[in-house]
Order: sequence, then structure tokens, then C-alpha cells
Amino acid sequence: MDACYFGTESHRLYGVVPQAEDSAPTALVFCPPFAEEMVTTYARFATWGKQLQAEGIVALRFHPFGTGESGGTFGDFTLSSAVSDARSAAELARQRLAPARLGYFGLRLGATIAMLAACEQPVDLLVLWSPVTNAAQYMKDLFRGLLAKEMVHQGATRVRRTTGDMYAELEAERPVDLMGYEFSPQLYKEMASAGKWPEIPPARHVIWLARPAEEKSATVIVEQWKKSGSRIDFAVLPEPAFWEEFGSTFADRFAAKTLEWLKHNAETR
Amino acid sequence: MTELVKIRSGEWEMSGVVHAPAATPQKRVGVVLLHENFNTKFGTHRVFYQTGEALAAAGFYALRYDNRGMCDSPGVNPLTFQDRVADAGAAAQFFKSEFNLDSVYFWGLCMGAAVAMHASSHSDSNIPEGIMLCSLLADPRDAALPQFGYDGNPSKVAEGFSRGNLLKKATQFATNPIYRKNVVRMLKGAAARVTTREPELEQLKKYIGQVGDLLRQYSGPIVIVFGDKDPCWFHFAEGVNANDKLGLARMGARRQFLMVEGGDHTFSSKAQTDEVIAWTVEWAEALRDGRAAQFSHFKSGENRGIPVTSIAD
Repeated sequence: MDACYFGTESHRLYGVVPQAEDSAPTALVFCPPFAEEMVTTYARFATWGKQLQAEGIVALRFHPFGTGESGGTFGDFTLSSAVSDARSAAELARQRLAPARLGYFGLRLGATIAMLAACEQPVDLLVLWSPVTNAAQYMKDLFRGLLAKEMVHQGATRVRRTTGDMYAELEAERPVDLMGYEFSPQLYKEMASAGKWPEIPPARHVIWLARPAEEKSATVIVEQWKKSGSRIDFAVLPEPAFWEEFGSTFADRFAAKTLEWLKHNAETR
Repeated sequence: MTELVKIRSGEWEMSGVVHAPAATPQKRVGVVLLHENFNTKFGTHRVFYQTGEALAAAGFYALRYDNRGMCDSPGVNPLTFQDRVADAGAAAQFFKSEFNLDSVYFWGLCMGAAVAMHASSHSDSNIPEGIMLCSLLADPRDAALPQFGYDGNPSKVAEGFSRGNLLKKATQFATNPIYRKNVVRMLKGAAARVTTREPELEQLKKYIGQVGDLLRQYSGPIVIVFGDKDPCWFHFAEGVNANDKLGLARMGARRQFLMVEGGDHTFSSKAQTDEVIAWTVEWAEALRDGRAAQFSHFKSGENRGIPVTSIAD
């Protein structure tokens, strides 16, 4: 494994590139989920990446600008910059790993970013775990969830602010503090105005794994993609929302299904 | 400015990041930032990254790393507490020699703070010359929390069973086969966890239980920071150091308590994070200059019998 910086001096990005002995047959660029979800799942995805390598699949991990070890502050994180960073990471994968097949892999908002990056520059594979299909609703849920957490963690006995207060702050071009993360007005604008998903899938091979709670919203898009003649592997599996807490629980069903799919794809190519 | 480094710890290689000051300081002082639990070297809301940047801006070196077999370090390892202590020692030695440092301090959060205390007792050199402990994990009960990887431990199962109407539960068990099946399944799961995880948890609890004594024994200066909403603070004040049984209040400037009012376990708001980082820089500067930190812009008082300074209202 080789941790490295890439990008430009003013937009420095951090990545971890597996050391492949030869050119890799399959490489995935992992797009991490948003804010604290990136932190809670980080160790688990790093471990899974190492396990994937033993199966001949290399996963390059990167930190979008403003997050993790990359430059900038969290206030610099936007959807558009994260999509652009995912593409830079894909370029790094091409240079360093020379894969026969390249794909994006993402969880939650990371899956959405993976899809958007693939729309801009098509890839062979797209692995989506519980993607966020409605960014505006996700933002609302995030605000509500974080307000609840804030009350629990900080032992507050009354609501100090509401989601309405937070929207008003962002509308007034002021950032909002979400448990230590600076949520910028620009990110708010992008999430509030995020459009519908594309009508055709942005990759030749797509696997979409959803939890039962996500089935309804996912099916609408998956059915549309299938109508376009594309082959989408879609499965609903009873996984816990493992990104909500620290711990050792992983999405074992998602992981097994994805590995099986990646291997099958490699064989039938 | 940050630099990526590789640190050798026994047979393992660890991935690290060093924050360096823009200009070479007269006295070269480094702070090893020890992170908590399964977390990464950048930390929740990037608290370690931000702390490293602030220390570098104030003329210090700061080192963060991922433990052996964790996160960005190569390999996979079921990390034990002893591994963490060994890694901290190896990281400090690496830091001192590779960056030609005059002094090394430890700064830890939660389990990282407990690791700092153990690593300081293992060191036969003068490392560390000072320690800052944030949200210190010192009560063995806290080591059993789900975030430490022992989810669904038997005490939690017992707690679940004891809640609600017991008679109703017993009736359900006798008459409802689905309920009975679920109960049996849950008990089996708990039993499996006991057999596979409990020895490890017992080990961890033992090491965490030693932190109080190490706090008393360490001869150098220690600054202890808690958020007053952090459950670990209540357990520390009412259990580990009840009635100041460790005698910390009598150790004068060598043991200072700082309290973040409204602060939670990871200081998860910008204001709390900024305060803790400001205290960190003030602590490091005072240590480097050979004086006790005054933390003068914060109010002084008592909290559960312990003299503390805290963020002003």
C-alpha cells in the first residue's frame, strides 16, 4: 500500500494506492460517504480493500478535498469538487495500476458521487451501495439526525435550533456547524438543487445494492435503467445502517454479493 | 506543511503524517497525537488533522499515524491494547530520531489518552516530557461500550431483558414460538460473543483500570481535558478519582484539569474543537518554555472537588 498526495499544490488530494505486482485486471476507485459517515466506516472499508486485493481486485481510496488527509477545510467540500476529485483519483488509478477494467465504488453520498463522476467520464464498472437518490431529502435527514445526536451527545434538554434555522443560515450565505463539520452554503445549494438521476446507467456493468428501506426509491431508477436495455444487477439485502456508528459490524452481505459480482464479471468479460 | 512517513513498529509498518512548522524552530519539539479506538489518524471531524495543523503553525512538529494493520497501514491486524502501546512507543522513537527532536510530548483522545499513559510508563527514556489527555478512558466500564467493538455484550442483553414487564415477557416466551425463537437466537449470539470476545474485553478492561494509578505515578506534567457532558467525565470524577483518591488535586501545577462546558466526548462542535486546540497550543508552548500553562483567559472553579478551569461563559 502506498499513501500519496496527488492533484495540484492548491488542491492537494490524498490517496492510498494498493501495490499491485502487475497491472491489475480490475481496479475500483472508492468514493467515501459524507462527513462522519466517512469516519465511522473508514477502518472497515480499508480492511475490506485489503481483503479484496487478496482476491485480485484493487481498490484505490482517496479523500475528497476538504476531508481526511486532503488539503482544504471541510467548508471547501462541495459535490462538484468531490466529483472532480473522484475523476482525478480515477486518472491516478489508470496511471499507477493500468487496470484492464476500471470502476467506481461508493457508499451513500459517495455512491452518488461515483455515479456523477461516471456520467462525466464513463467507466467499465459501477458499484453502488445504498446510494443517495434524493440529495435534498438526504440533507434534511442529515440535519435532523445530527440535531438529535447533538441533543443526546451534549445532553441538551431543549432544541437550540431547528432544521429551519439551519436552512435560513445557509440561505443567508452563512455556513452551518454540523457536529464539528462546516456545511457550506455552496454545498447546500448543490444538494438542494441536485437533479434527477440519469435515464441510462453511466457504466456498462452496474451493481446496485440497497437495504429494504431504500427499495422503493431505488426501484424507480433501476427499472428505468433496465428499460433502456442495460443490464443492472439489483439486490435488496437486510444490512444494518453500519455507517451510523463506530463498531466492527460490516455489510457482509453487500460485500459478499459485490465480490461474487466482480468475479463473475471478470470471468464473463 | 505535511509529510507522509512510514514508521516501523516491530514487524509492522505504519502509515503516518508529520505536520512540520514552516521555519525550523530554535527548540525542536514534537507532539505525538494518539487517536481513539478504531478511528483514523485524521479523526472525527478531522480533529487530529486540525490539531496537527495548529501545532505546526505555532512552531511544533506533530505526528499522527494509523496503528499496525489498521486503516492506511498495510496488513490486517486484530489490534490489541498492547499493540497500541507498542506502536505509540515506536512512533515516538521514530519521531524523535528522524526529526531530530529535542523533546517529545504525548496528546491523546479517549483510548489514545489511555495509551499515552501506558506508553509513558513503558518508556525508559525521557519520552514523553509532558502529556495532554482529552476525554480520558480510565474507567473499565467504558471499555465495554459498543464503539469499542464489543457490541451486544451480555450486560447489554441482560439490561434489555430486565426492561419492561417481566411477567408479560415470560408469558410471551411460554406462548409465542416466534418470540421464543428470537430469545434463543439472541442468547446464542450473546454466548458466542462471550466465548470469542470476552477474554479480549477483560484484557482491555484490565489495562484501562490501570490508568488511574499511572496518572498518579507519572512524574511529569499532565493536563486533563473533559467535556462536562461526556459520560467518561462522570465515571472519572465519581469512580476513578472519587473524592480525589488519586491525589491529583494535591499535585499542584503538575496536574491541571480543563473543562469544556457543554462539551461532549469528541468536542463535536467548531467552538469546542477550537477551544481544545487553543488549549493544546498553549499547553505545548508552556511546556516548551519550561513554565506551567496559565490558561488565563478561562475561568477557574471547582467541579466535583477538583480545581478546574473551563471555557468562560
